Amino acid sequence: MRKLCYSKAFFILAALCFAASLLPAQDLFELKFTDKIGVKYKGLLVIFNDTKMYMRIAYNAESMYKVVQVDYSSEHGETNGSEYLALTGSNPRFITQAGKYGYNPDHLIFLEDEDLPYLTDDPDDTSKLLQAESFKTLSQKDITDAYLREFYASEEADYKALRKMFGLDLSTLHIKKTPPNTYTGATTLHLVIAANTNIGDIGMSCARDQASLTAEFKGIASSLGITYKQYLINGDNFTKSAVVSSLSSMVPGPNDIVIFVYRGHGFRWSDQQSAWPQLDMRSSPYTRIDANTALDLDFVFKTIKAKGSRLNIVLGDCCNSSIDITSPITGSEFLAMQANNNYNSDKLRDLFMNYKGSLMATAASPGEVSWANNANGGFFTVSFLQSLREEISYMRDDTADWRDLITNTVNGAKRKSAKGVCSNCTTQNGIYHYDVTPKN
Amino acid sequence: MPKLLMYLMSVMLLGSKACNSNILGDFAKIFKSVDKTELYVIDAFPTPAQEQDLSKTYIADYKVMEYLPLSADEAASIKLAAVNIRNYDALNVKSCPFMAKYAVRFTTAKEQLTYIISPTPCGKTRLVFSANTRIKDKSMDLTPENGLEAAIQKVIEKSTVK
Repeated sequence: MRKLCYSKAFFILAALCFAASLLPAQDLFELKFTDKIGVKYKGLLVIFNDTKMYMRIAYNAESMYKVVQVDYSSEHGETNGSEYLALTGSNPRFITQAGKYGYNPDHLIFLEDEDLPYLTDDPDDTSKLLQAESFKTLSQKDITDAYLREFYASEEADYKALRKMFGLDLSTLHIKKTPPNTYTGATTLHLVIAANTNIGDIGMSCARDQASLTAEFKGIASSLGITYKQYLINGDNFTKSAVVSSLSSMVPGPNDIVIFVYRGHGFRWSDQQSAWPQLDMRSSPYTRIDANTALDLDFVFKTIKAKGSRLNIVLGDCCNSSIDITSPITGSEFLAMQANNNYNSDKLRDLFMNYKGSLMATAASPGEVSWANNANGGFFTVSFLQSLREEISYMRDDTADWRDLITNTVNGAKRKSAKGVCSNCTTQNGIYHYDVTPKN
Repeated sequence: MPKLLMYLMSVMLLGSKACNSNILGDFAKIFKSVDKTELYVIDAFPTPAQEQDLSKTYIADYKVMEYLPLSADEAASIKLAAVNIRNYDALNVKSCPFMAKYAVRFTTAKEQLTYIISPTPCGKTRLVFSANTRIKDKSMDLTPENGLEAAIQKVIEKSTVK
């Protein structure tokens, strides 16, 4: 019921900035406020990821139009039973002429039960506390060239990137053409998601991640013009045999892409040697953990890899902490954010069509737990989607690369679970096995 | 950031709209009139009612392995920890399986509130409230180094020494 208490502004930002959020790369927000002496400010908040965000603030002073940039870092937490999100400003620098007076960075505070954020530029003086007049997410229809020019000079890289991102750059209007890729023949993206959507503690976060992942990859397949097939193992069907059956029935071609994502509980046997977690394929607490309910992530990886598709991505967003049960002796085992179109389709194509190999990653090192929350999803899955968006963004100059993507995913989940960002969490250090190369 | 948090507190105290965020919700009311506090060591998994052994004791479907008597001080300490919202994480959950080990039962004249506890590293608790035929439950994550596990651990250590 707590979610009913979230204000719209808090929900948007908490859902974006995080500590735990599905942070689409390069989201834009507009903030308006007026200071105590009546000067009006209009801010454009640009969020790249949870560690990189800035606000351009435009205002008139000293008979000049001024734009200043302030960098931000976020902290999401709880105090006195209520959630807050604080954006701390630093490093103010003028984009336009500075004039005689400097600019003290504003700090923003979002409260779960307030519609608009509070601001202050002086934490030592409570009389300077202001409440914003408006705060909104900017959509495609809000972004025009004139709007961007309120905050950017025409030669700035971010201005150019934002123009491309929002379809204002004529050179990007022909991006629907399909650049050649080395592989010929049809390609199918197979998305397999095993999500424990029924389980009491993390079910809601698993459902959220499942929705985000399916929207994202469906959109990617559509953008690439390739076939999309999804295999969802969830709800009452969340069983080991359903995963086995799905993997068995999947017959990928040599140019296909297979993506497997697990969102649920994970653990390791008390005598386990392998670094990779066991997936807990139970949807009811009444079912005991045993060989029939535990699935080795490494085994899933090997099974998928053996199918011979071009690119295999296996992700386990789950804990890797020990339980007080030794490994059972068994025989051989079987075998938005919603998507949007703000990504660079050339980079997207490069990432999905011009790489081959296999990649397995999991959210936590042996002995560690991984974290999720109901509002946003699993820290690791959220970080993966953020990193994917970042990797294929117009605002990145370098080429798209799976190693960067998975490194950023692991680092993103680590940051989100670190003290100072998540006060009650223990840090999760994801691990990965990387064997992906450019196709040539 | 501490200054900002002071700000935050001042903002909240200055009258932001009320939002009952107490993670224990209505369950907390029982602590005003608890008559009895009991601690048990229990099985890791619950047993469905139809499979339960009539000669055994079950708490919220978990088989009792051992009963650990509590002194008045120990009971008070566990009760204090159980009601302290700082021991619970209202935001985040660990993606690990609930492995029950302890049950703490608080009883009043008309109601019972049972904490089923999965200890660290997968610190979680399931609260089962029962009054007459009404049963409600909720799950919450425990914070690292929470006081509830610490209070129970003191009792365990004492019983181990004996």
